[in-house]
Amino acid sequence: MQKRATFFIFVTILVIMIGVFAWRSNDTPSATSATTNKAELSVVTFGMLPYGDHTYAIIGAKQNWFREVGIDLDYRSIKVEEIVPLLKNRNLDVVSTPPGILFSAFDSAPDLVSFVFGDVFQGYAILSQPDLALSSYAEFRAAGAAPEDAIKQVVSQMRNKTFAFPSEAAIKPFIDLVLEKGGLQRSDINALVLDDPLTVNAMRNGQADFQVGGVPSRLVLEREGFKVLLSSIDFARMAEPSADSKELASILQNGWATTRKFYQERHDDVLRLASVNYRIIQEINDNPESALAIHMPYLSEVTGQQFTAADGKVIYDSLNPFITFEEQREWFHNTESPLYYAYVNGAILNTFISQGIYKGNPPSVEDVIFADDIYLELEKLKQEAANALQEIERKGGQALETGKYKEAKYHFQIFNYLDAARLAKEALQSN
Amino acid sequence: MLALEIIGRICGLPLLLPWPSYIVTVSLPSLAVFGGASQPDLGIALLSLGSHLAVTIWRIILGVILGCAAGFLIGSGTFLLARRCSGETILLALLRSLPLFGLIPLFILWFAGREIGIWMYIGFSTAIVVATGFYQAIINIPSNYLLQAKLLGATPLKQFYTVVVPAMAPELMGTVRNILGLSWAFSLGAEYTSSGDGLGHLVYLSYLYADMGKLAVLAAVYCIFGLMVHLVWSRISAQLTRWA
Repeated sequence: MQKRATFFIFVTILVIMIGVFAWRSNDTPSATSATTNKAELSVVTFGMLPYGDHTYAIIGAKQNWFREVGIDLDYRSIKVEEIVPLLKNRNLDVVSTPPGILFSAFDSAPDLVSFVFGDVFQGYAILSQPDLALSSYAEFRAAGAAPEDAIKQVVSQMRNKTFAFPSEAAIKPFIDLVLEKGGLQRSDINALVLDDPLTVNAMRNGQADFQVGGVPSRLVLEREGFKVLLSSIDFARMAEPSADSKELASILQNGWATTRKFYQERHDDVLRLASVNYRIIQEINDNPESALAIHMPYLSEVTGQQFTAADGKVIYDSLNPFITFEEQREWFHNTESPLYYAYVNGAILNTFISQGIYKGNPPSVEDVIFADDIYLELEKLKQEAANALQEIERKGGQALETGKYKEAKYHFQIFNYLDAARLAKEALQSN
Repeated sequence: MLALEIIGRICGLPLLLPWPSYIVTVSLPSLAVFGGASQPDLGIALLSLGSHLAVTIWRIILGVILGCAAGFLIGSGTFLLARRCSGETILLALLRSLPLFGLIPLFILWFAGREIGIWMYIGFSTAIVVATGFYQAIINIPSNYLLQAKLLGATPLKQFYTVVVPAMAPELMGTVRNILGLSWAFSLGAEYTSSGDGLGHLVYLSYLYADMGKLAVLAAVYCIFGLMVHLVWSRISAQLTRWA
């Protein structure tokens, strides 16, 4: 009897759980969006990495901004290892990813391209044990040290101490730069190479004196009171405007990527996606509180960590500042700026080339980065839309009452310059 | 548990070495964040944990059924091949030598994050273990059983279900018990690298953010349910082979 009861209880629990699963699986994130006429919408499957700089699309998704431009965004959280397979096998149309992933996978996946940028990742940082009471780069600079001297003084504090870091290729340029600029060799530190989460535990148990890792480890350790001594933005500010400037390899221009096929065959959707990207970024800059109110709960859910609005402010202000459409003009027009897209991405590419990862011919920046083309195209469309709207406004009267004019004006305001130009021209022709 | 509680409290580093009461009162409610809660909440945490557990169990059930079917076919096919040529054990030895966890990236590439990829991985790993067990169970049947059955006039089919199947049963029960334990590990591996839900996915995120408390909770869930499955299967297999 007891045995039968045990078996019965187990089967009951199993059935309940399977029922819960069935209930839960119907409540997928993209299924909770407001309904519209699905026949008019173009479905785009979208993958987001579980980090602050790759989940911001949720701000647009929750407010139906993608639907407003005719896109039904079917989004989900994915892992770094899934980016290339999911794009290659067409299981996802678009993913949010650092271009470095695409550069490093070029040999096996040469048709993946980055078509729009959103933020600058400047989150690599050297953290130290709080009880060592060391001085940071900012503190040395405040005391009057020149940038190069301040870096040397900060890094000299690491001599003969234990430094924990992961083995990922992406972080190696930053580590090499720290040691080089600080005047240290690898032999001057006790290197502790561990998985990123294990570097966190090495700091917690005092095994390591210093640490550098990805954003998750930085957020966790900063939250627990470990001190930031030096970060990648400190180097980037000293960079020369050239792809050979090693300082630029420590920062990234993050954005969204797709396949060449999608880029070519669904080019209008690419332009509309880019427009929503810029709309979201404008919102983050203009109304950070309302952006955080949507972004942080989603980030918490997909990471399993509670991110408050205060944590979000750190992400927006320090780790991954989001750069608006106007501000990105510098990235695509100003060849004197270190942040010119070809220099930042070229520096990353040069790092991979110097590591000898390519079996065949290495790619060029233009083989992978299409964000410049999309930006320039949006600028052209913006000008066309502005000209047509101005023409209509010069006519005045009834011309300003037409639905197409109003719609064109609205799409212009939300960065959807493709449809703004089209509608404005149609409105002009019908008047 | 008491020792862990005392040692953990003495160390005083709950983020590194959480003690049992900390795990239950702090880490377990914190799982509510996976259910969209803005604050730790035990109810939402259990519901969220339950739904992810249901996903994992569902995948294990499908994968094990697929794997057992494929394993039986491979095992019996190997046995039939053995009656005609030698070297059949090399095939099984090669299959057994495959590093199962090392194949996960291959399955990610082949199936690119689709649900079927997880089933196929669990099924493939299960099939290898079952095929070996099945083959061993067949060749371990004493030959005089079959001889006597033949002498008594049993047809091959009758030999199969009156002699072969009952003789294999005790060994197969052991094989299935192994699979039911290993399937949790297979599901963890598959979900860790290529899934957006399931217990393995929660383990991935908890590890990513070095959340030792959540990892301890998830480890406990794996242990508890693995043990439950083991106990239930022991009862079932004892009933099925009560004549042995």
